[in-house]
Amino acid sequence: MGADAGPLYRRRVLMQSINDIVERIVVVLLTLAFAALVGVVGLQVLARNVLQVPMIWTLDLAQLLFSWCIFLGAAIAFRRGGHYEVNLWPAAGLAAQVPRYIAFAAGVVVIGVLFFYGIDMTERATLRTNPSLGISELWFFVPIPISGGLMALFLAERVIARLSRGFSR
Amino acid sequence: MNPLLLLIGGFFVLVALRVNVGFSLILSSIIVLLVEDLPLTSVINQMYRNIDSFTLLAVPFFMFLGRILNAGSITNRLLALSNATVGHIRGGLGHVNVFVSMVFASLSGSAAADTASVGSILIPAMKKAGYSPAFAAALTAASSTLGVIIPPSIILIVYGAFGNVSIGALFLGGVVPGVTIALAMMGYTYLMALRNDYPAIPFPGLQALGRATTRGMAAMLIPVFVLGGVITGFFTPTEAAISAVLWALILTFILYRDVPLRTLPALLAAACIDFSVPLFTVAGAGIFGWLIAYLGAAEIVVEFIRSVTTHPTGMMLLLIGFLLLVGTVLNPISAVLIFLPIIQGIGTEAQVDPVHLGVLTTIVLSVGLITPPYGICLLIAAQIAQVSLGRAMLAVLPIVGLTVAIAVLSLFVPDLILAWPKFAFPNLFN
Repeated sequence: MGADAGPLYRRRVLMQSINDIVERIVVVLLTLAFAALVGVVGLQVLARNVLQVPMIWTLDLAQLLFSWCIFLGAAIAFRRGGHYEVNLWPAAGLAAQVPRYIAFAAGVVVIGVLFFYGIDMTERATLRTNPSLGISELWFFVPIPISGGLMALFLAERVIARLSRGFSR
Repeated sequence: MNPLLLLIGGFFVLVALRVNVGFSLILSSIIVLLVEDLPLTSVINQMYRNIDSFTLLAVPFFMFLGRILNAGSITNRLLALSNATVGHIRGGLGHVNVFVSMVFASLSGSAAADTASVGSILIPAMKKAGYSPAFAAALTAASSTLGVIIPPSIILIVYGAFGNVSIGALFLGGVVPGVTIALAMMGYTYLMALRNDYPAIPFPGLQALGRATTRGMAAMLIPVFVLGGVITGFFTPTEAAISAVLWALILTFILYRDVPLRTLPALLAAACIDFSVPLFTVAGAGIFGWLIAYLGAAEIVVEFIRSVTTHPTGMMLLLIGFLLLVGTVLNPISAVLIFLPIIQGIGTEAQVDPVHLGVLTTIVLSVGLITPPYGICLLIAAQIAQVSLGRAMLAVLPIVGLTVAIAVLSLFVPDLILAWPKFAFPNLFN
């Protein structure tokens, strides 16, 4: 713990507090999006099965909210270490170091593709208008690059934390 | 290098190196796309396309339902009901464990939620009553996989939606094998109780049974209208799921008032993060599964299997072996989405009915939830029981054997699965 006062340590604390705030904001958004999803699909059931007046816009809005919930939620789960991992690799010794670098490299590639190609897809969708909601289809795709951006922030936090602790541990 | 081998091999190597399953699916796909000179925008496109499904929306709602049941008193009411019904049989708590999972399974269709909630109550109780911790963990984990088989099952919904099979028929097909597996587990518990002298709980009397039934009644309405609604076609699975959620919300927050309304946002957020993980792997399975189809894996695998055996039963046994292997690392939803063309290719070749194939696939994949290296239910249960994963694994093996045996049995007695669907949907069968 000798590095406690060093610049790396300060950067680590800064990064952590930024991401804490980011996480809190995203969780609020998630809560609202999922509550809206429950409400919208509930309304759709009421309209179709009870009132017998089918609504089309509820389907599209549900899909939009679903996409936001999945990709923003996946980013939060990434920070909290909630994604599925398989524990086959030895947990001790020199070999235990290998997955750390692999996970980092894999993270960089996957997150990069989610972010940059996600932006690409979003741009292509910009000009299409969703007929029932009357909004640009970019709103359906934009959670993917946002998720990539959030994961990049969280990955950076992990790397800085690792560096400040030293790679020995 | 053969791109198909690169795709599947790359995936398994990445998973073994502890890259998370969703990222492994995406990364191995990226590598193959680069090698094959295909555009990387397909990654985003296919990921999005896989989650662009109204039926898949049933998944978050059923997972949210699991959260609500556990937050309030509904799980406890079901436990009390199970206690009064089967607790007095020798090995009482074990039977309660299986029975409550069966009931829970008919409500929510999510296995991990069941392990966590039932396990945290019953495992300590079983340990205290003298059950071996490994057995308690194994039974809890194994019985919660019933949630995957007994309707409303998330996997059956996904299988039906993406494989073009009637979800109502799949639901009905899951009932008999699900209950049979539950009875087999109870039989095994009884044998273990005789051998190790596990106790029974005294019968509480008819009056107490009646009281427990009344208290659990409102929650038991959920399976009635979910199954009834889906089978009669009144509800789509997603509509049934949301109706179940709304009913559970009314029970928990308005009628029973178990938990204050201000806890609702936290419940929503927790559920959302819960389901985002499997659905992110579903999105990843979008690009991976697209490549599997693009590279013609179904034809290659069917061709390979035909070179080993042309006997229908032999082919199905190979399929079961393959699914057991796949189930050890992939969650059942992703496994279905990725390998559906292969599964259905083999099924057609072996002339197995599509409904039978769907239920059989689901039963076999459910075993993956309790087998290492990635058996999430067993991991949770072992953690609660504070027993090593190795010992829990040994204890769970006989139960795994029972489940697989019933899946294999259905190959020889298809009516084990098909009797009810045939009765309710005669026009689907000729």
